[in-house]
Amino acid sequence: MKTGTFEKWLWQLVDGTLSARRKSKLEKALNESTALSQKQGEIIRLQTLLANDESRFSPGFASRTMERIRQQQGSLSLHTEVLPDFQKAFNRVFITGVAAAALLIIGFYLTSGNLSVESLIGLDQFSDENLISYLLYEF
Amino acid sequence: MQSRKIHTDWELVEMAREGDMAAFEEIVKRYEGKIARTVLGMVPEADEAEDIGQETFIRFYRSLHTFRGDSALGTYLTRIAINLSYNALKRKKRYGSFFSRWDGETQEMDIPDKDHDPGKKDTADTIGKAIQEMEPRFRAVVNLRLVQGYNTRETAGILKLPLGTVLSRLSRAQAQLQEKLKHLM
Repeated sequence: MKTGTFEKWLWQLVDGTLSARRKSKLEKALNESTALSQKQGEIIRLQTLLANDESRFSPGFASRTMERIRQQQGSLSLHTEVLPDFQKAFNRVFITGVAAAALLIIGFYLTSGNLSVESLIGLDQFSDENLISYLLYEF
Repeated sequence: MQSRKIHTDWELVEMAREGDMAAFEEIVKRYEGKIARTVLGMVPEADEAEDIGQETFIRFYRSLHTFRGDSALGTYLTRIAINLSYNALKRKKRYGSFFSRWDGETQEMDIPDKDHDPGKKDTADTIGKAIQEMEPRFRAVVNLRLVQGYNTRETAGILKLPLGTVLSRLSRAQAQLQEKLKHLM
């Protein structure tokens, strides 16, 4: 077994996650190797040294974080509340308009039988001759 | 006198989901120390670390409704903090401005004065410097395994790395730290 493998297992032995089979192999190796047991001591000492870290953010961190969340929540509610309301109103007007236009077109089609521009503006019944006689008519 | 109920993490999450901002603030207060140790162990500049710390909680707030509690809240927040720290380090590397707090130009991280004992502060500074001098990939495993006290499996889970990779990195990191901190051990 390579020393490197035993060294890796040492970490698991220290944190109690090494399997029973490996643990027994490692314990045997620890009894036979001074270097390995020295390594185990180093890991424990290093762990003790580093575990005392007390780094902190500067005081008031929670308040500053909550303030940022409230600010972002404000801009979020603009997106989720104001804009959707506007969108809903627009959709309502748009759908009503489209429905009215569709009804008008169907009405035109039913009365004139086609959907040409002339029929839409009411000139489909005029022929050129009718138009000239209309223009020449003396009221 | 009215006694104040201590809520579990899950109760606080449920309350925050229903819009209770005080409950979410309680979560922030409960885990700010853990997140500080995680982020300051990765990103030394105090201002940037605070920004990452705040962003960690903001991301969690946004994803409150998707948090199912599969992992402990502390572990979940630590994972967010580590990912954001990695992103910050990558950005710095990309823009070629990877300054260390130890170069004297940047603001030092906020390490408590340990009861005004200058010896303790010096020790903390020396340890902090030794960790910051390592590559980020080693820094992350040292931070989680040795500073935060996660076991090697949990460390692998948080970093989404195979256990063997974490163990290799720990062995190499230990050799580096051993050299730098031998006078303290």
